[in-house]
Amino acid sequence: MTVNTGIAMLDAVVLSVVAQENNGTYGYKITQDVRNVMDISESTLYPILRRLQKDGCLETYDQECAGRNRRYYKITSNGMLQLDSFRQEWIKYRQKIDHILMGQPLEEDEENPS
Amino acid sequence: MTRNEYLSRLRSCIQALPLDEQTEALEFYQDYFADADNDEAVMAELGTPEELAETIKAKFACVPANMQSSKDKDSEKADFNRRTSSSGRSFVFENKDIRALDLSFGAAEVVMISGERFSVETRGMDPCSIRCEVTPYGTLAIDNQKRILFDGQGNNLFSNFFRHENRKNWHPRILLTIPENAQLDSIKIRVGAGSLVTKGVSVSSSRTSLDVGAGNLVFKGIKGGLCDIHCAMGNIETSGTFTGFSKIDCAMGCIKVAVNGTAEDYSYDAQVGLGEIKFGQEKKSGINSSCTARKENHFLINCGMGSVTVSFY
Repeated sequence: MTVNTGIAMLDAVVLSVVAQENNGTYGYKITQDVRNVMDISESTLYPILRRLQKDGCLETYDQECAGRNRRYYKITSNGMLQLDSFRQEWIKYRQKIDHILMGQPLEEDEENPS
Repeated sequence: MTRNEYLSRLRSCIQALPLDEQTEALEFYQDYFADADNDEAVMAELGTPEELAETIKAKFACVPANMQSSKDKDSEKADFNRRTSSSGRSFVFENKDIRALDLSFGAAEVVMISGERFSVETRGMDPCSIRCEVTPYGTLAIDNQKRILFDGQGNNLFSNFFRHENRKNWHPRILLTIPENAQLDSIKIRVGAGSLVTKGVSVSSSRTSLDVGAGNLVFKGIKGGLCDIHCAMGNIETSGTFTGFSKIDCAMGCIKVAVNGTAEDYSYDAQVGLGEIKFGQEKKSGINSSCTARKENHFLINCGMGSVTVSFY
């Protein structure tokens, strides 16, 4: 897609991809899942995963799979909070873009400049 | 390139990172290759190991290793730790500016690899404790000085030595990159108690001096003459071409020199105390001195209690 995607968007997509799997998921699968929706290089995924892990949004564990240990990523409660705030932001952002781009009315449900 | 070759090249490219970061990244990509099960496609997508290493390093250059694990995050000490323990610095130099190397390291772990340009990256050390400059003559001089620091609570700390608390984060590491087949006027390396290891380096130098106190120095792929190798208690391993006059002096340590050539082209003059000297097929031990008829390429070997091995390949 031609729309530019920033770091925050990448973080949000990675977090939600990981959050969809209750038992966690692994590096290769995350990369493929993210690449299904965004056109990014495979090499950028690892630094993002590592940073989210360092920020306490993701945790890892090793599990045996086909005779070797595979590293699984799982979302933490901190990560869920982060994802939730990304979702709130996204709703606001999308409404504004829809308003501008698609001529839809702006839903001003809450006058709450936090 | 096979998967293993790719990973081992990646490993050598990210050596400036803290050890846990290196392991983490390598394990990730090992898994990745195994899960993708199509090595060629993965390599094509990830780019060269060098390119991949850049993306890994770029993201971590600004993230201190202890940021997350630091328990005393809020205390005053945290600021000191952040400042001293894992902050990295990097220097890059123009190749044409550099004519000689003068390296002097106390207790750091130094790795030298070949790359496109002369560059230096440090991790896990006080940014002020490394001096890295090019002299007007064109000597790239790097040393990590022993300085006394104050942590603001009345404790003084040696910047390179003896900082037992927080040991895990206190791991000075330096990655030196030198261009492949660099031609230098001189190389001078002093290693105190640390280690300096070269990986895949090839460099020629008209004058070389290797000096080790109690550390470990592995310097392979050197082409040159007038080589002066001195070892007190440590270990020196070197290989390459040694033409002209070379001097080996070993007190209690161990020196291994692998010479690219045949023993017939070299003469030697050896003094042995309680140590042992091996020169090609010949072996000398016990107190004695011996020499052979002087040839163009000559080794002057002095061995106190250590062991000196000169082999030919």
